[in-house]
Amino acid sequence: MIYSLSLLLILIGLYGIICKKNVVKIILGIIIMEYGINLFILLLGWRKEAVAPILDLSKNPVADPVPQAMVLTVIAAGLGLVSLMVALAIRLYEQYGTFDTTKMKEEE
Amino acid sequence: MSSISLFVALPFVGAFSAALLGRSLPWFPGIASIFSGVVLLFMALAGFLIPSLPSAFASPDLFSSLMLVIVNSALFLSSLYSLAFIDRFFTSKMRFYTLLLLSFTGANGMLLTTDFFTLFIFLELLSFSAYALVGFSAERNALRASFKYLVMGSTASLMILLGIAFLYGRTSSLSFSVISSFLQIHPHDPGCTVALGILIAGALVKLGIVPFHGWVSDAYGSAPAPISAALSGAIAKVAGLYLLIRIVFHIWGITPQLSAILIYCGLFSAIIGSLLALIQEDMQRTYAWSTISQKGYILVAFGLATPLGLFAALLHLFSHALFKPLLFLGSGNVKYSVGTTNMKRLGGLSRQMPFTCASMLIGSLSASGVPPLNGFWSKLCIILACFQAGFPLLALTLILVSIVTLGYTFRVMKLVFFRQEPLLEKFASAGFFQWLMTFFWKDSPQTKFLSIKEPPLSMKIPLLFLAIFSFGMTLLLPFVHSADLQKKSGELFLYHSEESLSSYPFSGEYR
Repeated sequence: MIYSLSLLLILIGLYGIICKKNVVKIILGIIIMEYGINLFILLLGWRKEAVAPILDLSKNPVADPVPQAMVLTVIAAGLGLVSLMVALAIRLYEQYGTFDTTKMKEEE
Repeated sequence: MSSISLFVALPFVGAFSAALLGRSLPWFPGIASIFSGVVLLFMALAGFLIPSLPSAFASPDLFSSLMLVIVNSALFLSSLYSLAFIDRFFTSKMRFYTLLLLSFTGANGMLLTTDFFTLFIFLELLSFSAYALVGFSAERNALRASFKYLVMGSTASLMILLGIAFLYGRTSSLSFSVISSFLQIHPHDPGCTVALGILIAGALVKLGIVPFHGWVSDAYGSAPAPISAALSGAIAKVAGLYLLIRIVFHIWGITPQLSAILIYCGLFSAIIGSLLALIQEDMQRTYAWSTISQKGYILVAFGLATPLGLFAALLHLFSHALFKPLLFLGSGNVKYSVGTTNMKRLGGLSRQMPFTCASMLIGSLSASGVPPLNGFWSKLCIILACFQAGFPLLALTLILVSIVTLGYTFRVMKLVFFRQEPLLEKFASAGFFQWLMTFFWKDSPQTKFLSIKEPPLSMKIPLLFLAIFSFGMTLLLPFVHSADLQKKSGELFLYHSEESLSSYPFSGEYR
């Protein structure tokens, strides 16, 4: 099942967020988790041998366009999130001189 | 476009015009923000108080219109307060107000949608600007707090997205009413139950309730005071509580299991939040833990799911939106005048800042539920509702937590306002020496202390406003037909009504 692949991606992302101490790795975890969810949503709209539902008068099955529109929006929002996270990571590095969250806590 | 779309359009346009014009006209962003706050507050009040208005004004339902009043009053007060506060601590008014307006756009939008995906987009808009605003502060650990909030908040957002995906996969719809009617036919659908669990977890993280409260004390404790006030009074409530209540009450319908989840989470956060508030060293951090505790009260009252409980929850939601911003803004006043909110280094401010002291006293009394103030009525209703629903032990615990609340709010009042200034204390015994010292030592603790003044008028008005309303709610209560309101709030939550949902303005249905 290809659905389990998306679940695996989500779990890898969650592992990165929970267990890693490095800011960059946490950011990567969030990105991977988001991609896993995007893949899951895309798979919801997938039909076997489906065509795009644009002026299609034949009896072919059509793919569900809603998940694709959703994923497009989520990707756009995710880009904003990634840029915010990276900007914060750079500021954190400037302030503490490290990407390690435990060391940051020790410095305070 | 009906005029209710202004709730989203006005702050959105305000945000972008502030970003465009902010460089050439430095006064513009603040004025735009206050203007949209005032206009939307009046519209929300009109929609809330006069339900018979034409549909262009009428808000979707009681819960949404109450939340609209809370959110827009928070927008007005925090943008008015920030005018002077930002000048003192930060450089860029333009960025601050742009982010503030964007996050309130998201909050207003969330309250007016009827489908999950639009709700998710507005939630993301709200959260992104909130993360950035927390990082705006000059505090040492602000960036780390902002990053913590960002990681937990965006994980919660992704959880909510996953829940929405599950719901779409099972019901092939995103609209609240379609999903709700699907669930009435198949109440034990496994995919939807998974979605329910994920959505509740995501909403609880966004709200900051006890198993998921890690970010709250850092984020509220180190954010600029007006942002803490807006976040705890309005924005986090919309992002977490509104979503949770919509899911649990309107879409699924409350069941004993869900009710138990709400009551236990609420109870534990009420206890843990208030106990940890007792041992904080920072004013703002104390109030941050107190926020967790008060949100626990609200959640318990919602979890009871009796008409009186729901009425009490709405009342406490409203009174928390009055007294908690009052306390946060008061600590902002101290920060503005003295430069720190660390309680070890504060003291004796009641003589230098009498206005701030008086209004924070009202806020503290209200938070701990002392009779003439609004907090008393809402807590009384919650405790009565607990007795009525047959949980006397729960009621007793909440009364005890309320006493602890009195303890930590008055601890702050004593340490900050009603004791001898710690640095002056050392010199208090040597009277002549102290007198002599004022001549030779320009920056002596005493001259520094005497130079502390009240902040400017624009920072006092929000406190005055909130303090007056804390009293005013009591005067209003005799005129409110509480039985009628109870019936209304009971009907609102316990009955799945498709008409009430389809009257929303943004009810775009994808299918």
